[in-house]
Amino acid sequence: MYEILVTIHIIGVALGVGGATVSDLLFFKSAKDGKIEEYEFGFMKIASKIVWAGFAVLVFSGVSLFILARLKLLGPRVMYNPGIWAHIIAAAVILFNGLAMHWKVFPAFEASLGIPFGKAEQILKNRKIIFTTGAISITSWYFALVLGATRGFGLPLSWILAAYVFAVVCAVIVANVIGKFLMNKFKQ
Amino acid sequence: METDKKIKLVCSFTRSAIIAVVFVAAATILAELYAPFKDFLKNNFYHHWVGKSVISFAIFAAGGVLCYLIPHKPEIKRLAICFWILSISAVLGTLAVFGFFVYEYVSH
Amino acid sequence: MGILFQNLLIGHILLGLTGIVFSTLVLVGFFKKPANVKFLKITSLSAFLLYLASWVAGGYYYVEYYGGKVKPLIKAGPYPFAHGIFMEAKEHIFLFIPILAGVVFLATCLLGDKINQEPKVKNALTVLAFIVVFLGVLITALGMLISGAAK
Repeated sequence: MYEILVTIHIIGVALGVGGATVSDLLFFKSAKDGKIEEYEFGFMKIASKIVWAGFAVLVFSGVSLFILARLKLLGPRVMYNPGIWAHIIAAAVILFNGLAMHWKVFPAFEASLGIPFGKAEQILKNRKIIFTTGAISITSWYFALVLGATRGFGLPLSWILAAYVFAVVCAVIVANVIGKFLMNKFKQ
Repeated sequence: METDKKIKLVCSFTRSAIIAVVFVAAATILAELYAPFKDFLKNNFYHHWVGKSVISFAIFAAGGVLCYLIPHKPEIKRLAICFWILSISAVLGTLAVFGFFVYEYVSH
Repeated sequence: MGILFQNLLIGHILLGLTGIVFSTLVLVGFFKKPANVKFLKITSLSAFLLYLASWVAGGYYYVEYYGGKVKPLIKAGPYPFAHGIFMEAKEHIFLFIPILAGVVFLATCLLGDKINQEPKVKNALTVLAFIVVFLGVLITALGMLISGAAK
């Protein structure tokens, strides 16, 4: 049962991390010509659905692994592992960040199809949210992936979370700098 | 069902939900501070938590029906306010319950 | 743990988790302009029924097994606050979720397309749906902390 659940969990990782990566790449590719076309948005929506499907697979298989550990009464030494809890925290961030994207980012894209960025009111208005949520998403997915593979290197939870916050902050800053550059480029 | 009746029904059950949420939070704290109340729940419902579950759901369901039967004019604009009050009640109720048990644990 | 309580515990967790998935779908459904009312009706009803089922499964397990078998293990272990704070809070905060989910279901079912015509009502319902998701995630995390403390 354990091996089956781990395999399913890895499939979820592939879908989630893969989908998030493709989604970000699709955005930057579509941003090259300074506007998002309808077909490009269609691909982003498919990628988004793959990410959500992957996330659901991850959550269910991950919780099932937790249930297995609970039924064996493995206790806090295993189930309070800092790597596992950092993993869970990253998953919660991915969920709420994903909801923020559906609340603000996708509607902004949908309202701006075929409109150059320099004139797309919704994209200009939501520029910071667009690039911030994108950065949080990709950082969180890869952070969770690394945590899953390394079990957090045996570090305390506070250290792991500090590294996570640092990575997210750096990614958000870089993404917003790129975003500002892109918007300025297409405003001209 | 007419639109007005539907709005009235939603409003009624939202109001009963607010009362149910406040009851859960209040009953939780009261049961810990006043043993006879906890004993009352245990004696009548087998377990204090079962008592809170049953009463809260009864308040929601029966309270909603009772509220619907009380004559009042439903207004869709009031619905938004009711939903907000329910949301705030749930958040405050969560903070109250969590805060209370943290306080109880730390002080004992 | 006997097979009955094992299944009740597993059922409680997976039913609740599936409820949260449907609540998330409800929330995402409210973000759309216009919201798909039929989709909202189905997902909100599913969420409500799943929470009710999780309530019953978890409640039976809690009343008949947890108190006598699991609680002493946690209280005797290195993290007694897992019961003293987390379980005590969780068993009561959980009660909010089916009630809130019930209101969301009733609202989507009875108001129908009025939700799209009244932005203030839609916004308030969206916030309510978000709170259901948030409480669901909180309860899940608390449950994992409680389970993790039992050895």
